[in-house]
Parts: sequence; C-alpha cells; structure tokens
Amino acid sequence: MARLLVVDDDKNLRLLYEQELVEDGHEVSLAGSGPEAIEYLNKNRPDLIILDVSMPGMDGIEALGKILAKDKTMPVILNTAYSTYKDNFMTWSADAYVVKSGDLAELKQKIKEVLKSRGKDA
Amino acid sequence: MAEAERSTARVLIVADDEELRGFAERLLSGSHFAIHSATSGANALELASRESFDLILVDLDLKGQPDGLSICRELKGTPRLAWMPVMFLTGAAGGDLVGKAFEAGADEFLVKPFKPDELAVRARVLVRKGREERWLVERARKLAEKIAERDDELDDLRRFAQDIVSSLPSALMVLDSEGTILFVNGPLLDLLQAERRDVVGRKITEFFSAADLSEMIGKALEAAGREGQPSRLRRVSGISRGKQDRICDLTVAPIDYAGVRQVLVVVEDVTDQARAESAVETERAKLNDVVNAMNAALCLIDRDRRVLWKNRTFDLWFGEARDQPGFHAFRQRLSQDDSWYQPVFGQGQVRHLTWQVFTALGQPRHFTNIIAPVKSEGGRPADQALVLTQDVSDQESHIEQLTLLRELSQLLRGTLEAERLNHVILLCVTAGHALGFNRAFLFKRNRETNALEAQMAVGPTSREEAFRIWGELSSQGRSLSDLVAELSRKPHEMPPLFRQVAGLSYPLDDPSEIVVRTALEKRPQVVTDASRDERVTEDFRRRFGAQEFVAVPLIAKGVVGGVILADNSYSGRPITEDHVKLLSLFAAQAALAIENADTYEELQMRVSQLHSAQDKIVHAEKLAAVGKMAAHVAHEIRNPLATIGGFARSILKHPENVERVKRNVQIIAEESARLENMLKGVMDFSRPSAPVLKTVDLNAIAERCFRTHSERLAGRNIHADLDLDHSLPEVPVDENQMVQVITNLLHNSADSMPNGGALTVRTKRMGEEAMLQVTDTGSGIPAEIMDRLFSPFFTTKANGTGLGLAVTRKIVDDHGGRIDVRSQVGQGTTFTVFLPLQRSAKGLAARVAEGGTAGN
Repeated sequence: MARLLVVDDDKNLRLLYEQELVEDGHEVSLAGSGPEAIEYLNKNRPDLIILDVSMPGMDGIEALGKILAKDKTMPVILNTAYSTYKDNFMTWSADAYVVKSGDLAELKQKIKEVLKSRGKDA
Repeated sequence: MAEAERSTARVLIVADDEELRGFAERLLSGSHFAIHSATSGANALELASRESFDLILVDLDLKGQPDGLSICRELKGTPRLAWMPVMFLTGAAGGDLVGKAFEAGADEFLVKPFKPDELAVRARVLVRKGREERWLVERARKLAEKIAERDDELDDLRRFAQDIVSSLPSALMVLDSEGTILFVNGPLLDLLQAERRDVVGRKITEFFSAADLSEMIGKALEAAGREGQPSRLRRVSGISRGKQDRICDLTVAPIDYAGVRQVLVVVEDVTDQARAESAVETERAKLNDVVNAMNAALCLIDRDRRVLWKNRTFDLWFGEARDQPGFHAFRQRLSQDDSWYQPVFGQGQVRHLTWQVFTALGQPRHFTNIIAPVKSEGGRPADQALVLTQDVSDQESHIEQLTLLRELSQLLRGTLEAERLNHVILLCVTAGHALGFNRAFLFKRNRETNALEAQMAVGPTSREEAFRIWGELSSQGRSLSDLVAELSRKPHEMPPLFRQVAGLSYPLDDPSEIVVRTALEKRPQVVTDASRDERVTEDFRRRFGAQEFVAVPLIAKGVVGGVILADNSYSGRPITEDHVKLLSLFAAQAALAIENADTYEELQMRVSQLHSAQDKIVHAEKLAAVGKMAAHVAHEIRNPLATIGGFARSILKHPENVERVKRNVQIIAEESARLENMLKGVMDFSRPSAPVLKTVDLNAIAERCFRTHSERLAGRNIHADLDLDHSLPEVPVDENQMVQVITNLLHNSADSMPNGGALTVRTKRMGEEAMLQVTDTGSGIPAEIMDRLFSPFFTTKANGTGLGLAVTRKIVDDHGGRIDVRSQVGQGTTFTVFLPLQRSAKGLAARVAEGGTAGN
C-alpha cells in the first residue's frame, strides 16, 4: 500500500486512475495541474507521483523539474499520450515512462516496480 | 641731136695768135658756127664756166698761164664743164705732144697745115658729140637731183617710222640673223633701264633668257621671206639693270628688209600680270590642294549631267575616265530626269541624294550627294551644279554596328538556342556592312574536353558562290536584319561551309595552333601572310587556305569562351586595324550573348532539377504536416480512448456493481462524445481562422494572384488571360483568404492542363454580388465525383491533401457567398465564386458561430 498522487488535466482520466488504483489498495490523491501538484507536495509527501506530460500551462516536464528540485528522491512515473516525449532528456530523470492506454496493466506494473525499488511494497 | 645740128653751134676759139684765130674763123664761118674768142687761158675758162660752148678750140701753143693743156685739164676736171669738147690746134706736132693733149682730156688734135674742110668736119663731129655728152650729163644731173630728193623723202620716212616706233608703247627691237640687236625703241630701253649704246650691237641673249630663244630666232629667220608667222614665247625673264628682273612675253616676227633677213621682236612686259597670275595660281593650287585633300569627291556638272570637272578624290573613287565602271556608275546615279534637277537649275535649290554601290571587292559603300547650283552671272538660272559626294560608309557602318548589336540582343531575347545564336553571330560578322568578312568560323570551348571545337561556319564555299551571293545581295538590297529575320523563320540547317570544319577540335594545351593561342593570350591575332607566319601551322594553312585572317577571342566576364576566325579569302580585302577593333568589340558582345545562352541552358537544367527537388520537398512537407496532424490527433484522441478503454475494462472486472457501472458508462459516453467533437476539430485544424473583413478592390487581388502565377503558367505552356470588370465596386472580404481561394482555383485549373491550354480569370458585377470566375480548358471533372468535390481529404491528385476545395468552400461560406462549378470532361471547368457586395447579417452570424469552434 502506498500513497499515490495522480496529476492529469483530464478529469475523467483522473477518475479512472483513482477508481482503479484505490481498488488496488492505494491511497490516491488527485491534482488537475502542475501548480496544484506542487501545492499538494508542500503539505504532503506521496510515495509516488503519476505525472501527465501534456497539460495546459505548466506541462509535465516543467512540473517534473520543480518536483525534483523540492525532493530529488521523489519517485515519478511520466504518463503521456506521446511516445515521442521519451526523446526529451528531462524525461530521463523520471523513474518510468508509460504511454496512456485503456489497459492500466503496464502502469500498475511500473508502480509496483518503482515502489519495490524504493523499498516500498506495492 | 637733130636740134643740135640745126641750131648754130657756139664755138670758142682760144688763141693769142691773131692769124690762127682769123684762119679758124674763116674756115668755120658760114657753116652754122657762131664764133667766140678768148685771147688767154684765164679768159677762156671764165667764158666756159659762164656760158656753155659746143666746141672749144684751143691753141696748143698758147702763151702764158694757164696754157692750152691746163685749160683742157681744168675743163675736163670740172664735171659740169667736162662735156664740152676740146680740140687742139697746133703748128707742129712734135714729140709726145699729141699724147700729152689726149692725156689732158682733149677730144681732137689737128696739126697744120690742114685742109679747110677738115677743120669744119671735125668741128661738126665734135659739136654733135659734145652736145650728146652734154645731154647725158644734164640728164644724169637731173637724175641725181631726183635721187637726192628721194633720199630726202626716204630720210623723212625713216624718221617718221622711227618716230612711230619710238612713240609706240610696245617695246621692240630688230635683230640681225645672228641675234645681234640692230635697233631698239624707247620703251624697250625703259624696260631694260639701259642706254641705247649699251644695247645696240649686243646679243639679245644677253638681255633675255629662254631655253629656246635662239632656236626661235633661227626659225623666224628661216621663215622670213616665206610666209613667216610671228611666234610667241611666253614668260621669258628679262634682265633689267636697276629694276627687278622682268617677265616678258616675246613675239618674234621675221622681216625682210631690203633683202636682208632680220627679226622683229616685240617685247611685252607681263611682270605684274605674271605675278598676279602666279598669285592666283598659288591660290588655286592651295584651293586645289584643299579640294583634293577633301575626303569628298567633287565634280561640276552641266545641265546634261556631263562631268565638266572633278577633283582627285573623285578620280580615286570613281575613276578618271568616262569609260571606267565607277565613273559610269556615278553618272548612272545622277541620271534622274529633268524634273528632279528642276529645283537645282531652275530654282537654285540644293538637293540631296543617297545611294549605295558595291565595290569590285563586294564591299558596299554608302554615298551621299549634295547637288548645289553654281550661280551664273547676272542672276540667270544656274547652268552648272557642283556635286559633293561624301562616303558615309563609316557612319553607315557605325549605324550598322549599333543595329547589329541591337539585333543581336533582340534575338537573344527570342532565341536562346545555342546553335542558332552561333549562326546569327557569324552572320553578323559576314553579312553586315560594318564587318563584312567573307568567311567566319566559330570555335567554342568545351569545358569537358578542354578543347576549342568548331561550332559554326558561315560564308561562301567558293569564289564563284561568293560573287553570286554578292550579286544577289546587291540586287536584292537585303539588309542584315532581313537576313537575321530570315534565319529566324527558316528551319535551322547546317551551312555548307560548316561541313568543311565540323568536328574540328583544337586542344587548349596546344598553343601552336593560332586559334588556341588567341584563346590563351586573350587578344586578337592578325595574320597577313599565313604562308610565312610562324604562328600558323601547315595543317591550319591547308584546312582554311586563308592567306590573311584575324582570330579574336570571345571573352565574357574575363573568361575565354571561344574564338571567332574571319577572313576575306574571296575578295582579298585587307584586314585593317579598324576591322579588328570592331570585330573585337563585336566579339565581346557575342561572347556575352553566348554566355547568356549557356547560362540560360544551364538555368533550364537547374530549374528542372529544382522542380524535382521541390516536388520532393513538397512531398516531405506534406508528410511532416500529416505527422504533425497525427501527433495532434494522437494527443487529442489518446486520453478519451484511454479513459473509455480503462472504464470499459473496469466494468468488465466488476459488472455486478451497478452504481459503479452506471457511473463508468456515463464517463464512457462523455468521452465518446468528446471524441466525435474532436473529429470535427481535426478538420478545423486545416481550416482558416475567422475572416477579417475589409472593403477592398477584388480586381487588385485577382490581378496580383494572376501576376504571381502567370510566369509559372507560361512555363507550363498555359496561355493565361485576365478579364476584369473595372466597374466592380470594392467588396468586403478577408484579403488573405481571397488570395487563398484564387490560388487554390488557379492551381486546380493548372493541374487539369498538364499539356497546356488556356486559362481565364474574370471578375464581373452581378447585381448585388461580385463574381469571380476561373475558367480552364483542362480535362474536366467526371460527374461521379462531382458531389464529393468539396469534401475534406477528397483528392484525385497523387500529391493532393484533399483540403484545397474544402477550405475554399469554407472560406466562401464564411464570407456569406457561394461557389458554383460547371465542368465537361475533356472540355474544361469553370469555378464561379459569388460574394455579397454588402455584409449580410446571415453571413456574419454563421461566421461568428463557426469561428468559435475553429479556434480549438
């Protein structure tokens, strides 16, 4: 069990992640934008952040930079519609990179791997 | 004599002896004698000198002085008295007394005693004889008197003649046969400034010098007595003392004076006249020099156009004699009819005439004539006219040259075909008056082989052909521009001369060939004697056979592109420095022309390369655009798809939880609605943004688009027309979008005519609408695809996006207008756009509503 923060501008996608990840026994918090996530992180420290790349305003890459600036040990999984974001070296600083899909199996597998590598049981 | 016998004879008896006297008186009395007596010699002489006696009887023994013999001597010694006969009477004739008596002049001698009759008879004989003698003497005396009178007359005449001669103003002299001066008159002395004594007796040659003076005098003498004509000797210099030497004309006439041959010389002092003449002559010579030095032919003609006088230039140009061809040609040119000359001879006007002839060498010369009347005295109409002929060939050449260069540049614009251009260049070198070479060859540098290759040759192939062509040119009077125009019209064919050199190539690394040397040294090479010029190879000599030729480099932008070789091998006209200069000048132009043609050719190639490169780029861009759109689509679609898929899987996991299923299905429905909406937005992605309307000149927009594309259309062999209605008012449109509409339509039309055709862009006012129409003669649109024409992503083109007409239609819709298409397969298509002249509320509303979503 872990505390997860899902950052995505798409409301229905946030709902999907919340429903699925809660059912898997995680404690899920939601943020609709980069600044919202930063604000959340000021008061909380989640075990893992699932971060959308393509967001209006502050995009996921920028948000990633700010998050890591606050806590460089924070595990982050980048979640995006574009496989091309893998080419941006900033994304290398994320722990994993998952392309959005209706099948959440890959995402859930990555969450488990990241938590395990950080000494957390999935 | 009869009278003497009849009359009484007077006898004087001279005796101191009374007896003798008486005796004589007795003897003679009664015999018709009248007797007178003198008793002394003195008395006798006194009587005899005072009175004449028919007979004087003298006593030889007379005493005292003078004695008898002395009386006789005295009488006979006096011519007046000598005729009187003297007879001596004596008593005794002793010794040589008789001889002495006769020696003293006695006529008779009687010695006593003598018979009485004897004395009378002898007396009578003597009287008769004396009388005869006296008559003779008298006669002689009278004759002598007459002669003396005549002599006086002659003297008078001579004086008279001398007076005349002396008072004559003409100077003259008389010479003897040796040329010695016998007589001179005053004026001649004045002339010679000499005294008579210094002149008379001397030779004429001491005073006058002329080569043939002696000869002339000799001839005059020979002629004397026959019909000697006076002969004249002009301009003899005479030696004058004290004065300057005189120049005289001598008239030499033979005269025959009293059988003596003499020569009369009349001397005329013509010094002043001669000096004046000499001055005039000098002036004339100067004028002549000027007239001859003039680079113009001058001649004087009469009303019948006969040449009365001409200057040296005339001789030089047209020949000296009437039968020379040039002269004949000149007169031919002046053989206009009388009416042409009427203004000259009639009204004293100056007329001009221009003509052209070909010289024996086939060179055209241009002449202008100025025909000016020569004023007659007393204001009569002119009888003669001065013809000034100027050779304006050089001016003509310059005009020709300019024309030539202009022709060439004009031709350049029309003809860029290299081979034809080569031909034109050589045509200019050979046919033009400016250059007019017999033959010309063009060598061009081949960059690949690094050699000068024969590209073109123009000119006759034989002397016979050359003269035939010149003859034709001369009679047809064709100009260079005619020839060039003719060349442009005719299908291009290889000139026969070119066949002789086609394929000839000189490697640029072999400077022994003069063509190569010209290119390497970058300056003209003039060869005047090929057989002795070391720059000319044997092979070249044989191949071209020109003794004198010139080779000039074709230099454009500092680079040698070839060489022109030209000669006058048929006419043999020398190649002058002017020719070389002009040819070089021309070569520079020609080089540029060739360079341009080459550049054009290369440009054509590059353009073609560029076209294919552009096609590739367009294709790549299109792919990139597709990729970009795909990314956008991916981003927009991935989220809803993931959401839908995620919840669907979630439902499959827990279908029993109805609340949850409901909630999830609701989201799925939302997301699929969102996807649909987005699909609509995909189209908007390629759509224009909302139009910004401004009232503008639709004609100007149409024209601008037309101009932008006209070149490209022309390049695709499409004849494009613009037909604008200038009464069209300004229309409220979005200018950029209108440009897009017209451009799209133009592209479609152009694409429908791959093999060329015609295209028209038209505007027209149609009531409250502006009409914009694009018509083509392209392939047309099949009926079956007509209804899909404006659908997005629908295309019949290999590289089409299928959005052109869809966007066009959208823009027109946004403007509140409509679009109409009419097409017939194989005939062509017409797209017509109608736009409202006023902003309509409906159009605006539609635009605003749609504009809101277009921004997504």
